[in-house]
Amino acid sequence: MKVNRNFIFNIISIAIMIYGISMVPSLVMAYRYNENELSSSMFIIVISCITAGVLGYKYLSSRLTDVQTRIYYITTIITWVLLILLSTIPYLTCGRGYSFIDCLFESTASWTTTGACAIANSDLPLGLKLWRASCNWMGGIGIILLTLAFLPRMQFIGQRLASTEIRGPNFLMSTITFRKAYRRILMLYSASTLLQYVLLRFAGMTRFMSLLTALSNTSTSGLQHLNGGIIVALSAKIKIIITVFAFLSSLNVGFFIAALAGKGRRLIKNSELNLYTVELVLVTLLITVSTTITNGGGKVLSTLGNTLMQVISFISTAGYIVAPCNEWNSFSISLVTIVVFIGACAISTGGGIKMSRAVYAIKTLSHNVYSLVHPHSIKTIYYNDEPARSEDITETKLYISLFLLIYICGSMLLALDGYDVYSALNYSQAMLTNLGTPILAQSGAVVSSTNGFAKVVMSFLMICGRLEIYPVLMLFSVNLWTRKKK
Amino acid sequence: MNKRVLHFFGIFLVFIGGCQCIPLIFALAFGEYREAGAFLISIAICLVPGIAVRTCFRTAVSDEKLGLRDSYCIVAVSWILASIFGALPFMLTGVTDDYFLAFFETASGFSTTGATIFPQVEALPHCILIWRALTQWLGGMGMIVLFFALLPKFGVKASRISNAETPGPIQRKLTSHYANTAQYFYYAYIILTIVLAVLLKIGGMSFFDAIAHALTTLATGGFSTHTGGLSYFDSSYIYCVIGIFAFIAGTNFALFFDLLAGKFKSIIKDEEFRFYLLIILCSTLLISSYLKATGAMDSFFSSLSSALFVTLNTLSTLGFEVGNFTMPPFCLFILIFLMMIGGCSSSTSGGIKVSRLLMLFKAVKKEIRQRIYGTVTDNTKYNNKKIDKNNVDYILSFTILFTVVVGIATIIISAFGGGDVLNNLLSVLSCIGNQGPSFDNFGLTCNYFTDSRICIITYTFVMIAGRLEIATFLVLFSSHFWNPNKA
Repeated sequence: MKVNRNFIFNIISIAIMIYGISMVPSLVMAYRYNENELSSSMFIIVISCITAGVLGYKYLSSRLTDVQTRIYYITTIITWVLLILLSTIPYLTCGRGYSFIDCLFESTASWTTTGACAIANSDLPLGLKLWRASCNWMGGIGIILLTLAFLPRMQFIGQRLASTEIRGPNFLMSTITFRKAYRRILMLYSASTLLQYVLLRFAGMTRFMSLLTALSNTSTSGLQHLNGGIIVALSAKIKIIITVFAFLSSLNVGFFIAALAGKGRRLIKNSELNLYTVELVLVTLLITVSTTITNGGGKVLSTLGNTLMQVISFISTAGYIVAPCNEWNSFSISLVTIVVFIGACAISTGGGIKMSRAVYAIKTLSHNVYSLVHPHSIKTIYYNDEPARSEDITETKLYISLFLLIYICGSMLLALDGYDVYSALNYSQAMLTNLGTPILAQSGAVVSSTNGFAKVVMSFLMICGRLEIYPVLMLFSVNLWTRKKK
Repeated sequence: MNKRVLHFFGIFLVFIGGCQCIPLIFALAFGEYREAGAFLISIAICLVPGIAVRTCFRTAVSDEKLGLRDSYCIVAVSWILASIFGALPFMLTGVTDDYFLAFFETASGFSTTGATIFPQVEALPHCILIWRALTQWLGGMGMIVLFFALLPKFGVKASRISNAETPGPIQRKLTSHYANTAQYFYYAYIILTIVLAVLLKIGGMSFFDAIAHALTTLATGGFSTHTGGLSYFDSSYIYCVIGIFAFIAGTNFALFFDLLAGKFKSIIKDEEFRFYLLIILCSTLLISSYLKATGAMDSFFSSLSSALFVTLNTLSTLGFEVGNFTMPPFCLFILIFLMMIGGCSSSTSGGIKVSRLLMLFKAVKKEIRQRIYGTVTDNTKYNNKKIDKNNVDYILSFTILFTVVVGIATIIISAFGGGDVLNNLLSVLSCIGNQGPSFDNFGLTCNYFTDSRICIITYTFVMIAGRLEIATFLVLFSSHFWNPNKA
């Protein structure tokens, strides 16, 4: 038991250390722009976190041999909740008098890459803006995954630990070891952030804004710092860069790793990528056609471009508004709603049910129809030419059902706090899929007007969506905290 | 297609024609001679092709075997046929001149949905009203099961038919032959209907209204003979009686036989029944306390009673109109949730079914345990029996399929009918759950009148699909069904 406890504390202290280090740029920013109250509180946080982290890292190191999986889940959920709570401190102590619930919401939204905000972004001090974006960035890749960089020897344990946090079922292409894959993921993530920063600078954005955009867009969090996420007015060049990077971030990291390993040809047959592309193209075309018909002609090409960018924003669950989509008709809205539910690819920074699960669901449904006609048949379901395990199939279907259940319960709770049916459904979806901006919300992603209860519910939904429900549900399970099997 | 299946359809048409004799009698009794003529023509239209087909394929009866595919085909096609031919009286009596609307109305009847296209129900002749009620009654327990209960010698395995037609994931066999079980179910169904009719008559309804409401209540349909639904009668006795029978109609009919046999323990221990009670209790308490707390209702008792009635009305997918009843969003959400759940398996209600939800929860619980401990023995039980893994798989597939159908239907209706996405979604949910009233503009209305033919057809198919629990209906559209040798 002591070994387990040490392991948990060890990971948590590394996480706290990373937390402290990552605040340094924001601290510098706050100091430079004379946000004194903020910079002094940040300074204290940085010093104490790094000290505590280093101490914990050094003295609580543990050799973990055989553990029940519950330890991994406990580690993940405690780390996330702790960091989210810690991240409220800078908001609370910046001297603007934000309420605790608002700060909690803000910090949850940034860590879960949702991109909704309770405090209008224009009001925030610069240091906090940067802090928000850095949280987005870390939340996108996952804090547990970051801590693994400090545990180089934990090959298997690292993999199992990371799998409690990764979005989507674990379909990393199994051609390389976890350690290699891990390094490449970190590299790709940083490289794409850097590249995006450079490109945005070339496109004429200011240095600070490019940095914020690169950090939040690589993690598909939405662009709160740019006019509250409504970027219709920006230049076409910038919009295209943002769209391309949002799209890349919503793809499975495994695709890039395979491409780097020279196995790009296999990707053409990848069913997740194929379906994702088909969905994107089909939805874009359908919405363009229906919008053009409603508008009675007009510029078809520009409609197509705008629609494509907007659909990518939704499909990657980034959730910024790039086209005048509040003019869409009900057909387009219903289509987009379903697209958002499905969400991005597995093992990406996007949210939603995940495309690979949708692929599984479609395959099993057609298999079910087949077995209705031939009840005694035994037929294997293939996923990317590999036979799928029946446990995976059941688990996938269970996850989808659970997702919908949580969605309905979430909207019910929001309705309890005075939301009408339509916005309750919309907000619940936006939070659970980590989209941030409810579809067609006039006010963007700002939820400042609602009261505390709704914000707590939303925070809960966001964490559910980010950690794929189970770790959060486990918190309520007695089994998680007891050692023996019951 | 199998000749014996065609032969069956011939007999089935005769059956549909035969059922129309009952409204014919009502038409004569109420002196609606013009409508009686229309019913005569309609009966003739059913009988002529029916008898013709039957005689043509009479020789085929003994030399062909009926397989599993045929039972799907029989059930799904029969339901469509019933809706097509059952729509004739609406056309011939001239109450509507659009065949698609008549088709919608009939399908809504047979699937026990209770959505209507008539803005003023009172204006309809009595014989049409009783025909609407009768379609619901027939659809409630399952037409084809009734058929095979009456004709057990036909040679189709009644249990297969009932798998395809009776709602719920697990069928309980009460007797060694399923046909006998079906007969028992029908005895219970008929007796309950008569009891309800008598009770309603005592409560001050007219003889005609009592019969019509008894037929639709037991089937959890919800067609009324008055535009305002039950609010027309405005009697708490009637609300009370209907509420009780909605509760009964939403429970598993197999439990009645436990009741008759005096096995009270096994009723109380039935997990589905317990969960059903729990859902009713929770929802009633939540709705009533919310209504009381927000001041929408004055007294505690009135809020509790109306919450209970609304819960039963929705959960059993009865869906009577209850007048100008505006609900706050929170309560509306509970109702939407209830509407999706529906009643117990082997009942007359629609929706996902309580037992499926229960198994979903059990599966989640097991999954959590599995994730916590790595590996666990799968000892999930339902009513003290181990659940088969395939069963859980089918239940999950059903839930997803349900959602997919709702999504696609909403898209189609938004595309061709326009309107508000939320209203479209709620209407589709109401149709697939065989509920009836949509929460249009946050009141409860049953009216689905729309100009778009495609919307009407979509709603119709969604209703039938919901009644047949989707899979039976969907299998007709799969290539495997038409080409069984395809891998």
